[in-house]
This record gives sequence, C-alpha cells and structure tokens, in this order.
Amino acid sequence: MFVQLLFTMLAIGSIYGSVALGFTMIWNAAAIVNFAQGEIVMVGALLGLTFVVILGWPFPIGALVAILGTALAGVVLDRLVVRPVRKAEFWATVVATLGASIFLQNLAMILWGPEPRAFPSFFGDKPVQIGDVRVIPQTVWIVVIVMALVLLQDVLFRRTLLGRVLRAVSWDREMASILGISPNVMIAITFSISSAMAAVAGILLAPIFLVSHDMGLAITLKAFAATIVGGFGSAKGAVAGGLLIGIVEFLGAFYISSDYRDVVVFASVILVLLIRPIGILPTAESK
Amino acid sequence: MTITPKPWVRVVGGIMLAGVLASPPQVLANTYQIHLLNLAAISVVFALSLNVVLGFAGQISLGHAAFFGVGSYASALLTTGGQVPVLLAMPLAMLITAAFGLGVGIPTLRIGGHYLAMVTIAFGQMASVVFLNAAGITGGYNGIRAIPSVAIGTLRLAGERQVYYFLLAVCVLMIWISINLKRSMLGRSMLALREDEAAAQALGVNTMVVKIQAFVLSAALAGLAGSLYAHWVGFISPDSFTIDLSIGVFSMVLVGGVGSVPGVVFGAVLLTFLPEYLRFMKDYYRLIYGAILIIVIVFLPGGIASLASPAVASRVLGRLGLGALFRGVQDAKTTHSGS
Repeated sequence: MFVQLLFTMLAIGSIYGSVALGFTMIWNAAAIVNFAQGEIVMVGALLGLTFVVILGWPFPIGALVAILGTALAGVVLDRLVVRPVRKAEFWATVVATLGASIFLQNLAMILWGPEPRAFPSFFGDKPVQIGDVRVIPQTVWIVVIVMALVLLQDVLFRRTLLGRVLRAVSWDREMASILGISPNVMIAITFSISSAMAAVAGILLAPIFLVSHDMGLAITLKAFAATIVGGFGSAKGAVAGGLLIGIVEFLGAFYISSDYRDVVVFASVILVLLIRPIGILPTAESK
Repeated sequence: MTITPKPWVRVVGGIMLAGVLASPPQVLANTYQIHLLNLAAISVVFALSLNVVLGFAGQISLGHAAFFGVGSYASALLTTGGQVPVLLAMPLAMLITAAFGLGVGIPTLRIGGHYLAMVTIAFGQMASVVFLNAAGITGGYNGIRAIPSVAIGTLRLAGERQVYYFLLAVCVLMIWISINLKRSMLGRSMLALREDEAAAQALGVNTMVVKIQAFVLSAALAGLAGSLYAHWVGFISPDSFTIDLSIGVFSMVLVGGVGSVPGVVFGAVLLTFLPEYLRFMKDYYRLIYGAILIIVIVFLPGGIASLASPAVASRVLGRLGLGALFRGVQDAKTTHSGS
C-alpha cells in the first residue's frame, strides 16, 4: 500500500516538476513568467484526447501529433503575447500571460465543451503485483518518462550546440545577439521545447485526473510554487521543488485533510521562504 | 506641460461633474444600469486599495481577493451573528483585515519580485480554501445569507438607487484619500521604495516599516471594499473570492496604469462594464475579455494612463496608423498656447 501511494505522490510531483522545468527554461531564455503554462498543459491533454480517444488513432501517433501541435501553440503564444511585452515591466507580463490563460481556457471550453472528460490509461490504471508490492503502472511510467525527459533536457542543454546557444541567450541576451544569435528565434525554440514537455505532462496526467478546460490554473500555481521553492531560475531546483510539492500535497491530504491539502502546500511554501528567502537550490542569478 | 485651468473653470467643472455623478438614479430607468454603477464603485475602491501596495509601494500582490473576502466575511458575521450596526461593522472589518495585512506584510520583508508574487498567491489560495471549508464560521459552500444593507440612523438604504449615493460617497472619499496619500510623507516614502529601495534607505526612509504600512493600509482598504460588497449584495459565498477576483483587480490596476489614481479609477470602471457589455456574445465573452487584456497590455504596457504622456500617445497612435490625429491635437495645443 505504501509503495503504491509513494508512486502516486512521485507521479504528481514529477508532473509539477516537468511543468516547473518548462517555466524555468522560459524564464532563463526570455525573463518572463508564463502564467499560461498550465493552459499549455491543458491544450496538450485535450489534443491528446482528440487524437487518441475521439479519433481513435494509435496512442504513440496520436500522442506525438498532440505534442507537436502543443509545441506549435507555444510558439504562437510566444509570438503574439510574450514577444511584444518581453521588455515591459514584470507586472505587465503577468497580465499579458494571464490574459492568454483566460483566452485559452475559454477557447478550449468553446471547442471541447465545458464537461470534464475521462482519458483511459494507456499504461494501465489497475494495480499490478510485483513481488510484495502493488503499483499502478501509469504512475510508474509517469515517473520514468518525466525523469527521462529531465535527463534528456539536461543533455540537450549541456552537450549540444543548440543547448549551448540557448544557454548563451539566457546568460546574456545582448552579447548573444552581438555574436549573431537571434534571441527571438531562440526564445521561440525554448517555447516549443517547454510546450512539448507540458504536452507530455498533460497526456500523462490525463488518465489520473479528468481532462477539462479549467485544469490549467491549478497546475500553473503548483508549478510556480515548485520553481519558487526550488530557487527561481534553477532547473534542478524546479524538478526538486516539483517533487517536494507533490510529496507535501499528498502527505497533507493523507495525514491532515483532503480539503485542506492546498493550505498545507502553500503554508509550506511560505515557511520555506521564511527560512530561505531565495528557495532551496538557487542559481547565482536568482533574485 | 500641465494645463492649470482658471478657478472659475474648476468650480463650474466641479459642479457639472457632481451633477453628472448624482444624476443616474434619477435619469436611468433601468435598475440594471444602476446595479453596474454600484459594482463599478466597489471595484474602484478595491482597485485603489491594490494600487496602494502595487502602484505606490511597488510591491506585487496577486492575492488581494483574500483581503476583500476577509472584509466581506468579517462584516457579514458581525452584522448577522453579532447584531453590530452596519456602519460600525465596516471599520471593524477594516481593522480585522488590517491584521491580516500585517500577517502577510511581515513575511514579505525579506523577499520581493517573483517570491513575493508567490507568497501573495499562496495567501489567496489558502484563504479561498478556508472560506470554502471552515463551514462552522463561513457557512462553507452555502455562504452567508440575509446580510443587512447599510442603515444611516433609522434610514435603511434598500435598493440599488438608494445605495448608489452611499457607494458614490465612499468611492469619492477613497479617490480623495488616494490622491492625498500620494502627496503625503508616507506616500512619497512608498514611491521612493518603489523606485529604488537602496536609495530610499540611504535617504532615511525606513523601508521595512513603509512596506508593512503599505500592506496594512492596502489590506484595510480592500477589507472596506469587501465589506461594501457584502452589505450591497446581501449574500456572500466562497466562489466570489477566488483567484479570479485577484486576477481581475490586478488587471484593473494594470490596464488603468499602475500608480496613477485617475488611471486606476478608469481601469476599474472599464473592466466592470466591459464584461457586462460583452455578455451578448454568450460563450465568447470571456474569450474576448482575455484577448482585450492582452491587446491593451501589448500596446500600452504602462496602462491607459500612459496615454497622458505625449510620447506614448504618439507612438501608440502611430502604430495604429492614427499618427495624423495626434499631430492634429498637438498642433491645436501649440496654436492655443501661442495665442
């Protein structure tokens, strides 16, 4: 029983972590907090639902098309909403991305209807006995896939030319553009990568929760909390923060009260900030 | 270039403005229009309360619905359970909300930027969970019903038309407070804190105390707005005080112009009426509301108030292909001042 719960907890935590990682990538590249990131997760889940459940395509193809479609949505979001306000004050970028969040939520409600929909699990949602322990395959797959993505992202950023260029942009946008790197193109690429990751998170999350147009904001807030707890701008911190938030949320629901689990989560975030005002694993640039 | 009108122009203008503001209950036959004006008055008070901490002191708050909600519940509980007269319950509700403002203000002393955004979001989310689940106090999902309306002496202000004058008076008082706060010692300390915290400290501003004062004052005024709301609608429930309200009031301040009192008043009135006038679009109205928010911020990152600056106005009108219109206005001004 405990192992089963542990995996559910880690699964939710790794979803938060992967969305938080997307947040962090966008922050590092464009110095923007994208409050529509949760809606990108929702778009991924709904596109996955459309191709796999409604149109009945095979899961790998449907999921892949959904991920590509969501990446494209991320690029459009960058071009239409983020790029025009990139140099404005932090507050203006918050309202612009919140406006995008309202827009996407309501667009999804018009296109897919207001009722939440079920998404059958591809990996199986019935507990499986492995030796002495029972685990739900879906939760194990979530943890494995997200961690694989995190490692892949790390390799991409550290070992490839594209990754080096992206890091150069996040290091010093002006210097990078003097060296002939277009920040606009690099930021668009960052949006496509982080949106693709959000789509994976949405498709993986879908069988655990119902899929609906208003699922995004809650994810945005938890992922934002994860980046903050981890130390803003730190990729490792974002993933660690996500896992931590998932664990605290689950323990709060389990030991205190399911109704008050968000109070437990957010009180813990405030507590962490009281002790360490810049999060657990801050980068040099966190402020 | 500021244009200072002659004294008689100001007096006549003031009388005309007072006449226009006092006329709606007599002129408008449609009670729904009065209802929207009342809602706008409460929104103005609420947006100006956020403007104190966000616009003057430069400290972000994405959880202001919590203060509004605390003020609403405190006032509702005092008048329904405690039999306290409404006009006494309002300042008491402000005091209670101010205490919550102190509670949020203290953890924010060491942090700023995104971390502060997070703490205020966290506070807002915690408050909405408590509103919903602490059924013993807040009535839970069912909320609180039969909240009495404002009574002055034995005169109970029932109905939208009577309440209008009361809300208008509070709203005007609030605008007066905001303008004078901006010019006061405290207000100028807040503005110094917003512009440059280190420089403000060097000039002898105790930034810690100013931050706390800003949060406490802002919370108390948001509590006033919440209290006005509770006694106006007569029924409150948790779904009125969610993060959507925090986002809504934040948008009002940003669309109007952070720190500008006329801008924020305009933003609050605009974003109260706009969704209502978009309702005929049914399912599409929130979609269009979101799009309008984006468009306003993309073209005017400093809000509508930034149009008052000639440089911004000419750039924006130029981008919209209306540059000629602006040049025309400038020419007219130059000719006028030359004569």
